[in-house]
Amino acid sequence: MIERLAIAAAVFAAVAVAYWLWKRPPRRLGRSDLAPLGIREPAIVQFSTADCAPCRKAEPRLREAATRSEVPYRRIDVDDRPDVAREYGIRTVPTIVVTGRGGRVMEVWTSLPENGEIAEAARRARIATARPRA
Amino acid sequence: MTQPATMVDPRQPRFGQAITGTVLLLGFLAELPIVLPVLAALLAGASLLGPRWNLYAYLYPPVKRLLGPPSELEEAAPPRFANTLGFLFLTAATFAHYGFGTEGLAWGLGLLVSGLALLAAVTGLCVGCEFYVLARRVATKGRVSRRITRPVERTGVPG
Repeated sequence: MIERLAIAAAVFAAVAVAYWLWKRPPRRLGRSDLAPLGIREPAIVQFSTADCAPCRKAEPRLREAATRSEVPYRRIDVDDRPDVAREYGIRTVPTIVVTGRGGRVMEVWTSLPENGEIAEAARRARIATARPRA
Repeated sequence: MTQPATMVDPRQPRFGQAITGTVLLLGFLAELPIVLPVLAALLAGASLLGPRWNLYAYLYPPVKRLLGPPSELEEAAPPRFANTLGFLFLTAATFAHYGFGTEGLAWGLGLLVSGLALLAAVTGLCVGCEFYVLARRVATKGRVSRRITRPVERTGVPG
């Protein structure tokens, strides 16, 4: 029985690790800027698809966060733009990004975080961009 | 003219996946290989014979009464395809166990189905459904690139 429990635990751990790797924010996106998509300022950007229920759920909260932190909200449908998904390595939706000066990606999430984390990140990005460059 | 897609409460397949995954896991732990052919037959009914033969659809209504109405419906084809994959894997597992006596292979396949079913039930990531959407995207050369969903208000709630 213990041997079977160990085998089952190993299989489920492997599935969990595979899921975690798949859901991890794409490294390529974290090192990119979204200027090629016309985003050159602090913004909250949601990569989503039309059939993604969590994306629809997230949208009003992201809009509210954008309003609160005084940055624009942008939504990019990766089904319409598969080239964008390829370019930035987006594997899962929603992928949520806060950009800073020049559209540089500051923070990335692959699910909607709680407690105003995104609004706070967007506010920091806006304040940092408003400061003159050293 | 194309037929309108059959729609389903998205929580119903997840409910079925939770049962499939749990029963397979318990079957493995309790050394009950009979769960392999039983679940293969159940998934064969759900996937090949249609909704009338889907036992999970009959078990779901009391759960739905507890959960309340869904906010939207999704097309039934992707989870049905996932059931077909589950059926194929569990049929292979059944043959591996009863036909060739390769218990390791049989339970390897069984645990893979169990792990993926429970992953879908817990996170909503249905790997079989994603394969369906991907295959259809390739088959239609991108014309049908995504799953079809509809808000409940426009369609009513079947099942």
